[in-house]
Amino acid sequence: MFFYIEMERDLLLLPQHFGPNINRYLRDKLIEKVEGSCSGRYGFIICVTEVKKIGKGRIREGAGLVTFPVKFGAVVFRPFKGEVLDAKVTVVNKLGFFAEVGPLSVFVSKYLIPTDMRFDPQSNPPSYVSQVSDEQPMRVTVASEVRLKLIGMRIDASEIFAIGSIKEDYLGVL
Amino acid sequence: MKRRQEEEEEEEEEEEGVELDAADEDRDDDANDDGGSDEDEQKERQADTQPKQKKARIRSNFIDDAAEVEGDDDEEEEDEEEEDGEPRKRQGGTQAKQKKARVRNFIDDVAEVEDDDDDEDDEDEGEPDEYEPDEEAEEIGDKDAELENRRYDAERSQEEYEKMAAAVKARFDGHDARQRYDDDDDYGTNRFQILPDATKDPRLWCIRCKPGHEKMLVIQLMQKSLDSQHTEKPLQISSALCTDFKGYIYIEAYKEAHVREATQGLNNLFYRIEQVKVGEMTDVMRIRVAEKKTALTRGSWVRMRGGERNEYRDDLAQVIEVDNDGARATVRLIPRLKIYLQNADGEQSDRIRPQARLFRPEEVQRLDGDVTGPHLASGGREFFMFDNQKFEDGCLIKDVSTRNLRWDDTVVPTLAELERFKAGLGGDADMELLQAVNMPRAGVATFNVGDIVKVVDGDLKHLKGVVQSVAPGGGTVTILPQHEALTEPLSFPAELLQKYFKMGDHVKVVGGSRHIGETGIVVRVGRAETEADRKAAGTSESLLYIFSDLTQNEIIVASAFVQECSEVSAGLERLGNYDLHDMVMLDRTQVGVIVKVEHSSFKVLTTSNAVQTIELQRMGRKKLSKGVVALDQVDQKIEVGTPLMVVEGQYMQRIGVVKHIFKAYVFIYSMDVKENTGIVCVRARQCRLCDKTAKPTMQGFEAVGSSAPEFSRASFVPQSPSQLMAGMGMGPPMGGAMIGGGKGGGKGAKGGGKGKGGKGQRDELIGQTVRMTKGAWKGYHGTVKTTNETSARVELHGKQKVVSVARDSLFKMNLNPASRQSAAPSFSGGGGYVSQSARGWDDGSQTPLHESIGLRTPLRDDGFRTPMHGPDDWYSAGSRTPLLDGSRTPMHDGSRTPLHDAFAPMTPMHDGVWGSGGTPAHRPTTPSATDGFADGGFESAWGAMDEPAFAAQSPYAGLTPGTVGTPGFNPGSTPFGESPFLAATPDAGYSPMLPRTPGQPSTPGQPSTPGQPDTPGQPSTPGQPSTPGGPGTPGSHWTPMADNPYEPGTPGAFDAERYPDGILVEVTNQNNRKAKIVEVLDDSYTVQFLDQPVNANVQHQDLALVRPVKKDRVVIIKGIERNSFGTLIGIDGTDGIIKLQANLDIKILDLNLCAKLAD
Repeated sequence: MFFYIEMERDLLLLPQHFGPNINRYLRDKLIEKVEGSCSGRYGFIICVTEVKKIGKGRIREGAGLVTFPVKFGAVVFRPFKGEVLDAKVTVVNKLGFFAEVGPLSVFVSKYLIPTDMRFDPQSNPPSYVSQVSDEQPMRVTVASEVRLKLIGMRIDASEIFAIGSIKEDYLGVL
Repeated sequence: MKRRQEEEEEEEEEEEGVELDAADEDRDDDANDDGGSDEDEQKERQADTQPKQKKARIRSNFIDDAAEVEGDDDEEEEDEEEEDGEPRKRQGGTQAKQKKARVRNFIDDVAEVEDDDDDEDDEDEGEPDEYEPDEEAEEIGDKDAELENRRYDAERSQEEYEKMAAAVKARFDGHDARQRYDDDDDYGTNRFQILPDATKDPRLWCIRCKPGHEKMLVIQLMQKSLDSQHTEKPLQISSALCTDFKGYIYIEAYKEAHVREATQGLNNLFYRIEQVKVGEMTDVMRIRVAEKKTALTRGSWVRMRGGERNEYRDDLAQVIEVDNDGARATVRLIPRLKIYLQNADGEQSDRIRPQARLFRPEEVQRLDGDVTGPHLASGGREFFMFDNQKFEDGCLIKDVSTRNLRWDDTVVPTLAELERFKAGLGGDADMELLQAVNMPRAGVATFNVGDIVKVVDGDLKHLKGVVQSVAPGGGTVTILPQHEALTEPLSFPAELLQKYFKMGDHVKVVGGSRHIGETGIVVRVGRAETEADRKAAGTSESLLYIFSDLTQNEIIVASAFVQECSEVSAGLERLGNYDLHDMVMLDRTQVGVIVKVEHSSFKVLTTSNAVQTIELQRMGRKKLSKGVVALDQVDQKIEVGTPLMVVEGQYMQRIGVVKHIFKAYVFIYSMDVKENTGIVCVRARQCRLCDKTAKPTMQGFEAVGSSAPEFSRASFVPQSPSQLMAGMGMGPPMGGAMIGGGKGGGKGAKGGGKGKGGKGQRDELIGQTVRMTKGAWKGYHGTVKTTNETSARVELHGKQKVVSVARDSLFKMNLNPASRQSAAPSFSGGGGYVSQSARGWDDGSQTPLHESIGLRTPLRDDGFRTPMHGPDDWYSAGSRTPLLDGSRTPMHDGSRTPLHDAFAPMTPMHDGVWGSGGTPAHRPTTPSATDGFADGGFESAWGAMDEPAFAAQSPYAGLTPGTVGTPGFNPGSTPFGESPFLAATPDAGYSPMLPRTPGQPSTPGQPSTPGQPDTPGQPSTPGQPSTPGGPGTPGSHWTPMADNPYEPGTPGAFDAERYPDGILVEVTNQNNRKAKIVEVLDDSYTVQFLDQPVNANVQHQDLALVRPVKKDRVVIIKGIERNSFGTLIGIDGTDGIIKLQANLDIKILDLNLCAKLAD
């Protein structure tokens, strides 16, 4: 799920950047540092929309660096258990397939794929194929788009990994 | 009469299917007490050959029956009489049974049913053998002739049964069951009105019965009740039930009399009726915890049950097949063949239990056993048949009833037993067997507070809860149920609980399987899907399929061994003495790197990129790659920690860091490789250093061997700061010196043997005092212990701790200001280094390292620096170091005064530096670089360098005063003019000696280099000259020693470097006035200024070479070509292209090695 939240970060700036462009530097640095990062709490920080406030810098003792507290608003993507997402398949193997929801990597185990979908190692790239006879077979392969439901997540300090399922109604290949 | 009855009973036991009828028949018999039926007598008659032993058995049965059938005392007596009087009959009975048994082999149903009662029989009579189908089978096999006979018997007995059944049925409808008691009416109708009061409820009566007959009795009672329901005298009992408790049935009734009435005539019941106390009545109904009998599974170990006569009793067996309902199993046994017991007469002794030994068809055949086979079994395995038994791999394959097997906790195979199996099954049995042994019993979970558990049995089955506490020992677990009606914590025996997981839970494997320590997300919960899964997990119940974080693979583990967790594990990292990514010897020629640590084994990646599984016990010794080097595609040195890119082969384009080096192979840890935890093995030659910061550590060699630019790079991009310094501060001369050193080192190793040779490439950060400028340890001071490309291990001063920090976050703490300004003139730089290096020196072994590379270290060794320091007031630091003390202290002491004092200690030193150090250094440079390395000689050099000890010694050895004086080095003898200088050097470096060797500088060698070109690099760094010389010197030391005759004498000389006379120099303390060296004194030079014909005495450090330009005549002042004359025909960066006068060879040398002649 996407959220717009306000966050605060401390940024370190080298003295060499002090000057008229300091705000730009800080902003650049913030974006560089924060965008695309992932925290266990907020999820993936997708985009910094605005820098709301740059606090007073504090010179670090013993070093010339200055710490600025920066308040900013950002769009974050925080996956939740049970959430249904559209994902793009990246890797398919006999254990299941990996898919990506933007920055989030999701693994869908073969046990969480409908039983009528079988792994087809012959196909290239490998795929899961639904054996419905009369129709065009449904195929999950690399670059397929699937709708999946997150059933479990591993959230580390800097990474989120999820397990998904397409074994429910309205889930599967789009 | 009784006898007959009892025989029938036996038959009943064997045939539950007809039990009801049979029981009725008994009643029938009772009713028609007088006179046996025809059938019975007939039967008795058949039984004439019953063996004696059978008697006991029959007897016991008989007694049981007597107990049951109360009130038949007269009958019993009668029977007794019969027995006494007609033993013959009894025998007949058993024989009939035997025959029956045989028949049963042909009638499956009967045999099956019989089995069910087997174990009871065992318990009761201790003679299960009688009923074992196998033995019967033997008999059949033996006596085909009786086939007819038996068939007849079977038919007849069948008929008998039918008749009996019919008779019983007829009688069953009789009056017996319909009795009624008058007082019945007192109870009954309105009793439900007072239901809540248990005291007025019907009572529960407990009646003993024959074990195993409980259910049947209850059914009989029900039948009876139904039958009598609409008669005048329905049964007065309310209910009848039995529990798991063997040997008892319970009847609910108001009066004992009713119970007695209801059970009248039932067989297998004992007389005594007890009332169950009101308080205990509910206990009867309580569902007892199911007997914890785990299902028999393939591969599990069992023991055979059996009485005295069963030769396989208590033998270990392995289950290889279980039928669907778990009633029969095929097991693998070590056979105990009677044929081996045959004595000379060919008789078999029945008394002795045959020994368990593997079946060998040849042996048996030799004993005239009728072995057939080998037959081909479906699995492609071969088996033999002997004596109607199947033998596979030396083991007996036996189909048995699971009742005859024991597989509780007490079945623990002994090692000896396993060995025997192993012998039979051959090599591949290993894993299978071990697995079976090591397999912990699934289901015995250890619970931790916070675990979510599910009750798996009992009245609260399926209740979920959270573990609140676990009693010591884990026997009792208190859980807080997750149920709206249950708010209080409840205690359960641990066996009743099972860990509960859902899909998506992140869990860790905490025991049981080889996946211990792994974490992952549950993707499936449930029973094993395939046989392979079951095998993998060791059980088929409540398995978790886990998607491992570590391997991105699926692992299957019993839920008992799993625990919810949030951490992500990298798997086990240690087992025994071995860590993940350790390199171990697999055999004498092969190594592998541990890529996975399992429960009791390792996965090891070999040099052929194959993964082997090796148990802990079989692991070879660990092998360290420390100090081992390999060369990449372009001959750059690869060490542990070097970042590499694979440029050829399967792993092309992979980037990784070297973990281990073995011969020509390197094991690389690459983040982008998923398999084998990122370790791949490639040939060193298929790789290339990929990091830009990676320095070609063997610059010396490379430089010479490759193009000019490279060369320059080599000299100017040393890894270590000191090198940098050298590059910057000292400029060209330094580079040259370094190269020289490197080579020298190499050669020295070759020639000098063990003692010499430095440790390759020593980072001069090592040993230095640094301050951390970043990270957690920011602000701490420490001493660098080891380094690699990107980081350094620093021993903190303030804490007893060694930490790893990025190199770029280190700030060198130079005690002298000069050293800090790295950009400052080389001299100061040199000084700084020296001071730093001083620390390095503390460690004897380290110093040598430096030298090996030759560049910096050598300098220090030689002690050039010390002198330098002296002038800069830094020498003190140098002198402090313990190493220095050994050799140098004296020098320092001695030299110090002179140096510092008005005396010109420096000059001599410098002279020394240049003369000895520099010159020798030169020589080695060119030749050794080219030759040594090109031809692989370098390897030996490296090898030698690995010896840390030498370094320390050799330099000093070289310095020893005695050497200084040695005549051997005289200029004339050596092809190179340097030698004279060499002599001078020792003195310079090592104070005491210096004074003595003044004469040497003047040695004829110098004259050969008349021109004194000004060296541009040097002017700026007065001190430098010494430094550059230094680095080269140590290396050169050895080299010369190795190959040059003059060396032995010269060692001392190498320390310093001197300019030859005739070259053009700049006098730095006189506005860089150009001058020509006209005479080389022992500690100074006499120069003649070009702008005015004045001679002056100048110290070495005040001189700088004049950088030659194109077409200048030059003399080479260092390296193997030292003192050769040539013409500079081109300049490429810092390298000069020189055409040698002597042989017109074209050489590419650092310009710093060339001195312009003052023509």
